[in-house]
This record gives sequence, structure tokens and C-alpha cells, in this order.
Amino acid sequence: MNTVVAGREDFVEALRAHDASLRALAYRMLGNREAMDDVLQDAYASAFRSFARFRGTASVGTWLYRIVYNACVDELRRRRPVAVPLEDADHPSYDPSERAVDRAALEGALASLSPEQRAVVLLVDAEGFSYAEASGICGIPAGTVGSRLSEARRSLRRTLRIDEEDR
Amino acid sequence: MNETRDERVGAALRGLLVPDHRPGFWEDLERRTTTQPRRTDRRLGWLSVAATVAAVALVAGALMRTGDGEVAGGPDVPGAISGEIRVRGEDPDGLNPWKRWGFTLRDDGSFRVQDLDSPVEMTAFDARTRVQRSIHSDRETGETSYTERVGLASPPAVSPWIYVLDTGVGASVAALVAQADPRVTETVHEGREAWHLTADLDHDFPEVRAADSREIVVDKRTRFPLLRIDRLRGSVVDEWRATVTEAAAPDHLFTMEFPPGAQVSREDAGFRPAQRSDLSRSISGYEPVEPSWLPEGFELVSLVVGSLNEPGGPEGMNPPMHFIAQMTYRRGWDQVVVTTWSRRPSPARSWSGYLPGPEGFVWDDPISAGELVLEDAEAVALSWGPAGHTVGDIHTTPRLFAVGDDDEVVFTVSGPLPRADLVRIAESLRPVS
Repeated sequence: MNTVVAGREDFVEALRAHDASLRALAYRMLGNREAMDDVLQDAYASAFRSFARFRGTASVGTWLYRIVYNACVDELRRRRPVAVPLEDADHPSYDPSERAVDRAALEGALASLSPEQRAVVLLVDAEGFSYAEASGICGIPAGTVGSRLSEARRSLRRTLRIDEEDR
Repeated sequence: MNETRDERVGAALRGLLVPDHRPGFWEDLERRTTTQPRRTDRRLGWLSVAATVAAVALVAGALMRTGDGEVAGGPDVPGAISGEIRVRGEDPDGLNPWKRWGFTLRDDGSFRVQDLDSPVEMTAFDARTRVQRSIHSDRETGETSYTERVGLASPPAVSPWIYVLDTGVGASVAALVAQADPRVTETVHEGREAWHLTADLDHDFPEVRAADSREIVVDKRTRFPLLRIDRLRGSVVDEWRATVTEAAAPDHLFTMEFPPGAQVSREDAGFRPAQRSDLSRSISGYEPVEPSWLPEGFELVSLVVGSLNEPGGPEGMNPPMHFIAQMTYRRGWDQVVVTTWSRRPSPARSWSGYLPGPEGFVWDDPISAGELVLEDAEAVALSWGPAGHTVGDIHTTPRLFAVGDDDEVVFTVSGPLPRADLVRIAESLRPVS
């Protein structure tokens, strides 16, 4: 019934190409590594099962992001409340040569956002997706992508001390 | 909408460290994908959910009545509309430009949508042939791809284009009108007779709530939304507007020619037209049924059969569906879809997946498996046995899901109808004679 035949190697290649970004999305949305890995296990397995049906109406990255995003939202719905205090989240150790204080502040600012706001700012600003693509991934109108972005950026810019005129 | 990207914020975010996977992650995944997939315990099955579902459906309530509502068809109703859709997010300083799409819709379900800010993003669906063609420009590579999907069920699968059109909003408001919801009033919007509704958005997931109220204006004659404004504490956070004109819509608009020499990716979704008289030969595992009652004026326009042997839906999150029979009935711009399918696992695999439910995903129809998070559902027990749910909110087309006594056959009914009508249609299902 499908004309596109994709094999395990194709899937693994696509997954490895996007895994770092997908980890970032899941980790920032869920707040800890254990949940990140649990959700990604389910999401990747689900993606594998349906990969043979994927045929490129969107990029494979967008498709994978949508699966992971939905899996994260599902997980957040199951475990309400979703707020993840910064001190409760496990963090990878920081490179001491980096501006650790700024990073910690940015982590805190991110944690203060809603998971949906975190998702859109990561998708658009960090990963470079268009509003339409982020809209498709998150299943929300493009206008909502814009409004969530505005709120998220306002908080992050304040933390990063980016003045409006600096932009 | 101005699609700005904040490079400094983006660079800072990319600089944050992200943990690697736990040891053994990839080995675990390897095991999971090389052996029979297993059911995920956290996902609740249909029947176990029935006892816990919250009865919050907007289509339910004391005001509900069975009624056909106003018919979106007839001599004074246009056969096609076209126009422009504009959306933007919050705009406190008046500088946020609109994002724009052009569209044409016909009352047989055909549509064409084009991103007006990106001329190589468009799709067209021809309801007569159930063929969808799309042109997509890859943002990363700049390459243009051409896709043709044939053998689709009707309506086509949920896609970003369906989000753009937002037709589910119109269907949900039409259902509210049919049940005399007092929140819906009549108005005239830019010269068109319309319904107006302002509703509180009372999500059960406040942490991600983007708005607390929604204002909707829907064109009475075509059910097409003309305005949707989401507000949070009185401030506009999302604005969707459409200008509509009534225009001829020749067939070629919905077939969309590809340039000569274009490399076209083709897909056959596998659905084929069927005759009522032959349905029992096309379906095995259960006795085909059809509604013996529908609101006045609905006529069968499409009957297709097919199977989805792999997990279905855009995310592959739906269970395999076997021996699907989908009947589409139209009354002008109104569409009712009745679907039956078997969830008996394929002999080739034991993956059982999960059925739609309050913890799952919305789908207007099992074939057009959705990506929206389910908000409202109400348990319903049909007199002939099946346990089911009705779902209605102001975002999507109202629908009913039910599972037969044998726990194998799934029935769905969706359309711009009150809950009572959805239930009555489900109650009326009879073996195809």
C-alpha cells in the first residue's frame, strides 16, 4: 500500500542526525534526563514502526520533532503538575571555562517558562524552524507560535541582558 | 506575521548542555525495534478509560436537543469560496505583520491552499478523485519537492494545511447552533451573515494554556470561520481572520499541475471506492454496517474501503486499522463521516497500540488521526452494547467513538452535529442490506 520503502539503516541514520536536537527538546520540556530517555525510547520506537510510511511531505526532522513533541506533551499531561523546579532537575556538569553563571540563569529562565513556550523558542530560535513548521510540529496555529515566542523571548532576553536596541 | 528569529537567544540556547542518553539507551531501542513491539502500559486502553473520563463536553448539556440546524446548502448557498487567511500573534505595539495564506474551498470537500509569503508552498485536494498534490520547498536545502497522494480516504489526513483552514471550528459552532447554545448569537460580519461566539477556554492543563477565552465568527452559509481571536486576561494572543468571496472553482484548481520534468514522490494510501452491495465482500472480520438514520438532507457521496496495517496517523501513534469502511455523507457544506474498522491485530504482528481516548489524541476520524490534545470527552453507552465517548470542543469537529461488544470493531461518527444526533446516528447503525 505504500510506495516508499525505508529500512532500518535509513531510520537509524535519520535518528542519529537529529538525536542531539531531539534530546534538547525533550530535556528542556521534561526537565530531567530520566524522563527524557523514557519518552525518547517510546517516541523513537513509535517512529521506527511508522518510518516505512514516512514519505517526505515534511522533512524527516520535522516529522521526528512532531513525534517527540507529542510524546513530551503526553508525558506532561500524565504527570501533572508539570512545573520542574530548577534545583530538582538534574543537570549535566558545566564546562568550567564557560560562563557558568549565565548558563545557570538561562536554565532558570527556561525552567520558568511553560513547556509549550520552551518548545517554540527552542524550535524557532535554537533550531531554526519556521513558524509554519513549528505550528505543524506543535499542532497549534502559527499565530500562537508567535505569541508564545514573544513571551518566551521577553523572559530570556531579560535574563541574557539583551536590550531591545541591541537586537 | 513577521517570522523573526532571535539569533542571540538561539545561540545562547544552543550553548546549553544537554545530557547524553543513559548507558544502554541505544541497545534498549535496538531490542525494542527488532522484537515484537509491546503495548505501552502508561497508555490507557479504550475501555479502561471509560470509567474515569471527565464529562466536560461542550456539546453536552441541558440545552442539548436533537435538531438538524440550519442547512448549509441549497440554491442560495455558494458552491465555492475563496479568500485570504491572515494570522498573527499578540501585537501590543502594532508592528507584528500578518502571516497570509490564499485558499479556495468547494462544497464537495475539494480545497487548495497556498502560503502567500512563500510561493512554493501549496497543496490541493480533489475530492472527486481523492488525490492530493503538494509542492514543498525545503527550508534547509532549498530543494523543491512534489508529492502526489492517491487512494486517500475522505477527508484527507490532518496536515498543517488543515490547521490553516481551521474548518473544525466552523463545524463545532454549527453543532452549538443546532443545540441552541445561548452563547451563539447572529451577526453580520463584513457583509456576511454569521454566528458569533465567545467561549471561555477552560483547559485542564493550565501550565500550557495560551489563552483563556476565544471569540469566533463563522459564516452561516458555508460554516467557514471568518474570525478567531484568542485572548489571555483580555489581551489578544492569537488572531486569525479570513476574507471570503464567493467565486467559481473550476476543477483544474484542485488538480494542480506539476512542472514538466518534476520528480514526483507518489504514494498510494490504499483506499478504494466500494459499492454498498459489495461491502460484505470487501470487509471481513465483522459485519459491515451503515446508519439507518441521518439528519435530513445528508446524502452518501463517498464509500471507500482500505486498511492501515502499520500504526496510522501522521505520528504513527494510532493502532493498525483493518478492513476500514468509511462512508461520507454531505449536505451542502456539512459533512458527516461514519467509519467502522477492526482493531484485531494483524497475524503478522502483536502490536496492539491504543485507542483514542481522553489520554490520547484527537482524531476527527480514525483515518485522519490528529495531533491535537484531547480536551473534552463524555462517556456514552449505546443501547445495542458498545461503550463509547463523544468529544466536542470549540476547536474540532464533534465526534463519537465506540467499541463493539466484541472489543474488536470500532465505530466513529463525526460531523457538525449535536451530541444527541451523533448518538442517534450510532444507535441507528444496521447491517448493510
